[in-house]
Amino acid sequence: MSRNLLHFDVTDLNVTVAEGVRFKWQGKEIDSGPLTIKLGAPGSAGVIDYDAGTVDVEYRARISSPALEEIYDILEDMGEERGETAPFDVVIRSKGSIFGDDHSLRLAGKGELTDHRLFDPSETSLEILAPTH
Amino acid sequence: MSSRSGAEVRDALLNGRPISWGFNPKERRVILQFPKVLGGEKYVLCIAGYYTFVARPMERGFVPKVFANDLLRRGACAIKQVFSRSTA
Repeated sequence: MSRNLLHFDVTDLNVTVAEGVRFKWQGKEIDSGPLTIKLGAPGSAGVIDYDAGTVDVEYRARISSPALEEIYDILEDMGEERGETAPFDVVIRSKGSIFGDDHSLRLAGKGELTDHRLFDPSETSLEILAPTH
Repeated sequence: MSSRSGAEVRDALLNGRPISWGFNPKERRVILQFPKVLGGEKYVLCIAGYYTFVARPMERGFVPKVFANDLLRRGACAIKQVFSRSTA
């Protein structure tokens, strides 16, 4: 028996972390400036299961900020391959439920980082929490 | 993005129109752990913005069973209205 599944593509992801973060690099404290999370590699997609009332979605995202771009440039000047320093790509796999009244989605997920010179996947993590309501 | 009814969103998705959902910019939804080389801090952050889904072309026109009765009922009402207008 076929299930009531709706497959979809994620055609846009436009997220800003306006407050940014302060991090340390080579003994200096650096303000990242606003972080942006946008679609990166192609293939972001998911499925809505209307029988179960659930959503599964995979976002292939790219995280950037003005300060990170400067650090990538510095590393590149120091001889690092650009491909090893940028971009900061992450695959975010989210799951959640659909609410029928307004078809709102309650998604939470975890990011899986690709290899990166600065953002060692074994020490770096990204988690998206479900909305409180 | 918050004023749509569930039926409107479903109809739009099923007809291949892009639908976006937004984040509450006041809610802390992201936990980001930086590596030791960048200080090793953990941040809990608010995010603002949206994401957009579009049903794949092969899916458009698909009607989940749970909505089929609703669509049939609305279709029947529309036919009834046209019929009563034409016979009035």
